Amino acid sequence: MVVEKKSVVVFYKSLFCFFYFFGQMSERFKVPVLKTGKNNILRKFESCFVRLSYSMFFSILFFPFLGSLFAGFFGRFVGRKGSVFLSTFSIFISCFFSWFFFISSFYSPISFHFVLFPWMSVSSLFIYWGFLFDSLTYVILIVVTSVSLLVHLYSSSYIENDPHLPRFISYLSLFTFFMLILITADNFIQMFVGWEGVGLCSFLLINFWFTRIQANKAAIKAIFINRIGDYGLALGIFALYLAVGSVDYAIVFSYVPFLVQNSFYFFIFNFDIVSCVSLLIFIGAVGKSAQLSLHTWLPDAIEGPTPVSALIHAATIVTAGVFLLARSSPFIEYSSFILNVITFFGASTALFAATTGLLQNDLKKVIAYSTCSQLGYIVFACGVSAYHVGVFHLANHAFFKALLFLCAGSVIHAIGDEQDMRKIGGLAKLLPFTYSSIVIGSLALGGFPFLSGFYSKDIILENAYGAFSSAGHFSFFIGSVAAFCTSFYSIRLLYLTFLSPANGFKKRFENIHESSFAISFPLVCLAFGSIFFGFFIKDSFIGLGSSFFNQSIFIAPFHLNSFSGEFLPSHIKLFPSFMAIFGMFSSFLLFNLFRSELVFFKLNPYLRFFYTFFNKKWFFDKFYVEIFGQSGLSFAFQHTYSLIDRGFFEIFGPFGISNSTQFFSISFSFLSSGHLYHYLFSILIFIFSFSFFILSPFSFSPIFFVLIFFMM
Amino acid sequence: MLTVIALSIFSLIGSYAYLQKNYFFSFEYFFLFILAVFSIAGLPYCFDFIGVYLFLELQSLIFYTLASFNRTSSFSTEAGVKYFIIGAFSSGLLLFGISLIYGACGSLNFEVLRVLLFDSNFYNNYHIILCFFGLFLIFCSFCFKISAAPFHFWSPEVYEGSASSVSFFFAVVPKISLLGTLLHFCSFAFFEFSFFWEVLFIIFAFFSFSFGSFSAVCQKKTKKFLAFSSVTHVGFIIAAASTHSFSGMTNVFFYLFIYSFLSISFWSFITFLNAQCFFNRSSFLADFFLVNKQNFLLGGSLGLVLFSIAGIPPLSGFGAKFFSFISVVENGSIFLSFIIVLFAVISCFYYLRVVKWVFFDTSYANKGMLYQCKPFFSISFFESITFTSGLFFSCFLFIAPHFFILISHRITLALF
Amino acid sequence: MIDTALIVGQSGFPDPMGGLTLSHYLFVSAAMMAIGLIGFMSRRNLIIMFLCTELMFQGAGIALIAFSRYHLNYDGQTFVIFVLTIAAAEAAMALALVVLLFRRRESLSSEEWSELKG
Repeated sequence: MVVEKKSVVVFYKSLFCFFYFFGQMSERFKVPVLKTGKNNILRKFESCFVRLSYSMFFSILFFPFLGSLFAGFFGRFVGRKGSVFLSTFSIFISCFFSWFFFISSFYSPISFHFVLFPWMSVSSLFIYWGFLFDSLTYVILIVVTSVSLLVHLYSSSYIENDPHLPRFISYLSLFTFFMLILITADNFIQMFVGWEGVGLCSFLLINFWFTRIQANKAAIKAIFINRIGDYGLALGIFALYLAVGSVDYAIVFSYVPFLVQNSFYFFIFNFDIVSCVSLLIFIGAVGKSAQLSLHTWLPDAIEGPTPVSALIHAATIVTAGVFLLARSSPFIEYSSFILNVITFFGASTALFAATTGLLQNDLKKVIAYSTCSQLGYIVFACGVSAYHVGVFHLANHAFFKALLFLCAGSVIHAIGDEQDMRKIGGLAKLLPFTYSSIVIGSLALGGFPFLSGFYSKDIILENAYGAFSSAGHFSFFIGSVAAFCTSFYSIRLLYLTFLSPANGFKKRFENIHESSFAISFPLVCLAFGSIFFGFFIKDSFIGLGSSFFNQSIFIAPFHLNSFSGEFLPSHIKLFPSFMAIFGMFSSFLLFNLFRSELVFFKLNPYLRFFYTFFNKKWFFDKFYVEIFGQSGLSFAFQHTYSLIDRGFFEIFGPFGISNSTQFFSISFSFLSSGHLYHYLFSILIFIFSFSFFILSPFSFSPIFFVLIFFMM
Repeated sequence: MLTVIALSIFSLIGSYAYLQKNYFFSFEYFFLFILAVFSIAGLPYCFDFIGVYLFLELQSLIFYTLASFNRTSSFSTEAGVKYFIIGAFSSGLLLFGISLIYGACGSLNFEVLRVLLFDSNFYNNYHIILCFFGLFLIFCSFCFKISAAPFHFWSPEVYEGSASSVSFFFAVVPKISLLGTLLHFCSFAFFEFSFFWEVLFIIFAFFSFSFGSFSAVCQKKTKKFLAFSSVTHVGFIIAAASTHSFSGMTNVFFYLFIYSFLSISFWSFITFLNAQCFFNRSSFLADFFLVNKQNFLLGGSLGLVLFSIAGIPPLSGFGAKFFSFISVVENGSIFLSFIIVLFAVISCFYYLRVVKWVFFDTSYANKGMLYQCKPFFSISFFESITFTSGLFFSCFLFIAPHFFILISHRITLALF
Repeated sequence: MIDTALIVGQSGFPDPMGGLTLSHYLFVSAAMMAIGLIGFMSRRNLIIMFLCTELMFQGAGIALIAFSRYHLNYDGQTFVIFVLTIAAAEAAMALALVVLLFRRRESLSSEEWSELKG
């Protein structure tokens, strides 16, 4: 314990040094942020404020990194508790400042932009380490840091028996750091650093229990499928650089209106710049936000520890894609076609994931599919140009989905690592606190009136309808059906886990207990968030005429659907809520009263088809594996590997060179035979052949013969 | 000139122990040695073909003598005779080339030649042919002297046959001066013919790469191996010279410096081996086996030297090859640079093979050899000085090469 | 100035040469050079080989003198004097080596001297 205290003191000292350092450093950046007052004292106060806010910004960014370093490299010295405390504390500081800026931005929506130092400058490409803090960043900041804080706290208890707790905590903090880099970047390249960093940390965290083959497979799948999206995003950034000549947000976004109608040639194809770049960026978002076609990694990622699922795969990493869409809204807004594509993809994802979630048996998988479905909502909100509503739903969703995952973790923890819902049952009386939390989470997810999900989801659907386009109507109805499915499977989950008669083994139920404070406290916080966040924040985020997202989100005037969404007829407005409540009731009735009839799902061949189809996730995995995976593997082995790599390159590369070297060396050593006349003969051959080479350009003339005679 | 003298002092010190042991510590040796140094040092200062010819002949006559200095050895005699015969042939070519150029231009002075050849009204076809032939023959004879392929045949045999100290001297000292002279009259007198001698350089470079590296791969004898590898080095050097750019010339001399230092350390090691053992241990490459076991420091530094010659990045051999390569790439001759890379790989291979002998080879059949040598090497003060200074320069010149780059810059400035 | 007519032809060459033109001299020198080369290639006796190189030297010397006369300056002739001196030195050197060799092997055939091959 003495060691731990010492290390804590060291940490505090480094903290003060840190503040001092950045305070000093910030003097270099004299950015005129608040130059309004002429009073000298006021100015001093302002400069104090600016300097302070720089230190605060930097502490938001780098405290998670410091915590990660401490836990990762010095976890052995500071001990388990020490590393947990240090990293949690650093995240707390970061979280505190994020909330500070978030709340202050209600009163004065200032955006801060400062540039630290150049990263690379290659010909016309200048990239700086710069940071941009605006309203969009603040929103994601509070989501990331508060969920991260709670998850740190939670996992300190959840995996306290694991010998690698400091490593885990270090990964979590590192993930938070990269996420902050992603959302605070002021150019695409720096954003890409964070983008890849979170991908890496996601890989490490899914694979945390690296001795489990399932975890390995899921982790490889996650990073592999994300790679496709990253590839798209990288291509998008390249195309952007090609078109604009810069990757800074400020330059790119101010340049976009001049790019409309411009096009470039790729081979013989002519592409519209704005559409092409928007599409590529959207492919990146598809990968990260698990939209249809690249979604398969997300449900498998639940193989990681549950806090990871809560932090990464419910609250943060999947929001990166949405953040990217919202951030590049000034770009995407100019391409209506791509907006329709986005809407279509989002709506399809929402429906697909909701129907798949209906018939999953794994507790966490249901929640994962519901995450996927909600992301579909958010993305089609972006597609109908309601970015602010999308971001609002993102924040709400982060709270209640983290709550759901953490509750699931609590259940799994209590019952001894059993995840199959059919084998649990009857926990409502044994775990009343977890039960109540999960009820709150499920209701918020289902869009029960006046919980946070209600405010955002309904507004999304209203906006979609209010777009008065075919894509909008499509997504509205799809979204309503998905809302029905969502509440249906939420209640199914509740019922199977908590309300139905106990189905598990007796031994598991004997030792059951409510979890410790460290697990319960995050649940309480998140439950409060799920209940009240939507209500409190609604007006500033999505209130008509609210100036909260003043500069950070751009909505083209001809895409502004909020007004038409606001004045829809009330039966349209009430339709989604009705569907949600109808779903709840039907699910409840079905499972309570007609439970014995459910067996027909498996007996009736038509219904069994649906059952298999939904339970097997629409056969996406099978499709991918058999069509792409197998053929790709066989192609890779038969052609690229054995024909090109081991064939062509081996023969003309290493093998060929070494063989020919041996051959030449032996034949050359014959040449040096030790006989003088051999040497002279080879030399003369050289001289003669070269003489002809010299003479060949010249015409025949007497002197030619003279010289030939000379040489003879 | 100072460079040449410094190099020869190094080589003399390096072969001190060897000379002591082999009893030809006679005064003629030093006399000839100093005369050779004089001729080599004076060569670049010639401004006239007469002077060039005379200094070159003086140098080669002394070298013939030195090569056959060990009268009791039939190897040495054979080496001397072969060197002499081929050398006489090459000086015949030189003389004939000079006579052709004299016939075309009517002068033997570089300054006059330069003025004449700059004037494009001066020549017609016959002049050009005569000058081409003359230049070509002079090139051939210089390539004899610097042992560029396909005129390199004498060098492995002479290195092998003559005494180690003499080969040491042959390998280290004359190349810089000979190449300096060649580049001097190329870029001074025959500046207008650069399109021609660039091609010549490229062809010789190509031949040197291929002959040198392919022959060195399967070579078993130490000194022959070194001769062939020096042929490859000459290839790299004249490839850099073929660029006919200022930086290319600078890199030629930089490469020559580094090559000299590397050769100093490696050759001095060979003379140690010769001096230490009861019989001629260094004649085969396989005799290097487990030097590391006998003297760890020596083995380690030998490994460092070999890595440097092979061109492993932080060491200076890499720097030299890299600069040569860069100047070729800057010149835009992609094919040549590709060939340079290819043969750099092969040359890397055969040096690393020696490293394998030094450190790892335990499978050598004749382990009794080990007992015939002293269990430990002991190195005298002079030897250690040569070896370590060569080692120091050769390994760390890439880190702070400014001084030598400056010198090569000055030399290059003096060429034009 | 060299001209085709000058080298091959009849006119323009200074009178003291009589009927001989530059080309005659060059033909002689080329013949000597060629004989030297062919002998060098075909003979095995070291002394004969050495003599062939001497022949090449002298061929080049004749060419130099002819050019010198043609250009009406003395560079070439001076050069030839030096060449002759050096040829003498080389002859001495060659004879010494030959004597050494003969002591070792009782033969001067260059075929027998290939111990250093490989």
